Amino acid sequence: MIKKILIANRGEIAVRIIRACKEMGIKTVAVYSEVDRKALHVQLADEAYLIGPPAPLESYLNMDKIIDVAKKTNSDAIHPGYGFLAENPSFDKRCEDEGIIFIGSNSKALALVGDKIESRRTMTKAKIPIIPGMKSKGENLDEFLTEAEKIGFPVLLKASLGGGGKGMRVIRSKDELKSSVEAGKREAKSAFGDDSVYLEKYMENPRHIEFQVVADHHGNVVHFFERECSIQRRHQKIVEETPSAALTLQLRAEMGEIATKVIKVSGYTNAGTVEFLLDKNGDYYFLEVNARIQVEHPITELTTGVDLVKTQIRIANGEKLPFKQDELSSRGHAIECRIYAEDPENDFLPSFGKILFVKEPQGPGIRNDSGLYSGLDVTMHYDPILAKLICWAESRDVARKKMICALSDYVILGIKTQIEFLKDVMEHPEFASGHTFTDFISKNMSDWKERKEKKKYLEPALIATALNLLQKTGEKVKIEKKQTSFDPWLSIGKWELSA
Amino acid sequence: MEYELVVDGEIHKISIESKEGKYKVDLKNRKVEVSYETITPNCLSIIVDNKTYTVYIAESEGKKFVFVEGEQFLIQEAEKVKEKRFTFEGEGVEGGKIVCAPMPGKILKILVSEGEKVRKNQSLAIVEAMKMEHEIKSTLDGFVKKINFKEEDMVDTEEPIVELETEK
Repeated sequence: MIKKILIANRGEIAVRIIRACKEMGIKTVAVYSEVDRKALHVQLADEAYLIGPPAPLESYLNMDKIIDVAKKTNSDAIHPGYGFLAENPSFDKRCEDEGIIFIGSNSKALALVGDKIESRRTMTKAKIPIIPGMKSKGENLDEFLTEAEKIGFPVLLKASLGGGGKGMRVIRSKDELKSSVEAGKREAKSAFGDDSVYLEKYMENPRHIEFQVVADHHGNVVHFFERECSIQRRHQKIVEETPSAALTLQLRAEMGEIATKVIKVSGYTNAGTVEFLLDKNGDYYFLEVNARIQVEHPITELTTGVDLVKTQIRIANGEKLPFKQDELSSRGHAIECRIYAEDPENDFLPSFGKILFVKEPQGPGIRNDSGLYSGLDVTMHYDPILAKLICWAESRDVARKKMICALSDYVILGIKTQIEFLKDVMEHPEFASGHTFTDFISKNMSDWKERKEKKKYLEPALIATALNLLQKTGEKVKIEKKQTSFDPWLSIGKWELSA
Repeated sequence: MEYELVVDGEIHKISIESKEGKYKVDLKNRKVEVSYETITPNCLSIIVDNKTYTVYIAESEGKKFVFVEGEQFLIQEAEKVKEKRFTFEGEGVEGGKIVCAPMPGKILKILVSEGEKVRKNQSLAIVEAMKMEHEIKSTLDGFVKKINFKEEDMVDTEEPIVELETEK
């Protein structure tokens, strides 16, 4: 019986997990690095332990320190969230060896699906369609060149231990091959600790469709339908939605079944996501398994009514899934926009600094998964994802309009975010008509610039600023006045008005 | 009171007269009467021409971040606008001769040497940040006057990595 969980993560997902635990009556242990002392996840947990300096290797990625805290606190389980150690089979195995429940798949399946090349081989054997390309890592430049020519340019260079869109590069010609492979290997080594890379056919204009699957320890596997994640920049998802406009009932049922098969064939347990690429002809190809709770899980929760994090905990507890596939259905439409600390005017590079003020949008069908609060310091050490804004409504267009209102109500002052950009994505006619392919951003918004000429509210902004300045001067004058006129309180001694 | 507020390089003059709890505001030859209330230190409510606006303001180092109806503005008092020391590398930057780091990171590779001729958009260096590599490109046709860092050095935002000079 899991009574206490250590959350080996930070930011919005750590907050999400802690909330689920609280609702289940499970005690929570937070770990934090030196720069995260004031973070929301530390504030919300029952216990909190400092585990090191900001660098992930010395804190959130440090297995020894985390296991140490888990043992010290008698935690029954560790929830790794996403990123960091979530898909690390060694960490999973360590937990297994130490008798700590890892809330995620067993380590054997984790190792299998985590190796993209190995997964491709496994799925091929199980007759599951995969994207044409290499089934082993490239050993030298000549091999890459031969394979690239066999596959046919353009090709996509991918890291075998990669994920989250990192370490991927499109190579369009022989000339780009050498520098791209070298850079790709460096990035892979630095991000994933391993520089194994391989090539796949680069599919132009596909849709990225993924299926949420869960498997308990009793052989039951069900899927919670699909998520459409085609709006991406630099291969990173920024908008996700469900259901996908591209799937017919037939395709949904078929792909759902294949997704379930992928999980069964891998021996995977707990929650995972099976990713597919869908081309214009309606052909789908297995891409990879995301062996973790995903960033975009809320859209599935809002349309199916299932709490996926709680389901993860229950599965880890040894419980049987309480639903069969034919009992599950999806209702309405949900869209998620990821709010990043990025400067759209500076090529979307990360922006750092103190969030002076934040006010999240609210209302029926609006959900905020975030670790934000006024005064939060956004540093360079971690992923720039600040929060997720999710809207649910009975249909896609209603959800889209709700999202536009919600984005307009989102106040984050002090650092740059891409909220304006997200609003323009939502308002774009191509998005409105459901034409979401992975080249959406590069095709429709590659030279996006904040539309300064369109700003309608400059006048009230100026008026309010001036009035605010006037009031501050007035307050200063009032204080000065008080100090010069006779006041018996002054004879007490020096005193100050606090701000 | 008279104020000179700068937004996007443009100066806006605005003067305010307070009378019996109401404010008379004069800007760009338009005069309005404004009702103004503070809700919280970061939130004000103003009514202009019977239209209500909830304005959020936060300040840091003399810069005011102002949010109204989904639009954000960076407003400063004219006298507080500092001269920017360096310019960012990128298109449209006139004669931006000092090429800076766009964000904090580590210099992975320096691809040119002092005195070398360079073309606009030629890669000068590679900076690693947030687990991604970023190419720092030349803003002009000319030559490398000075390189201020070496490989493996850490750089901060706006730190000058390479100084360029146009050919005479």
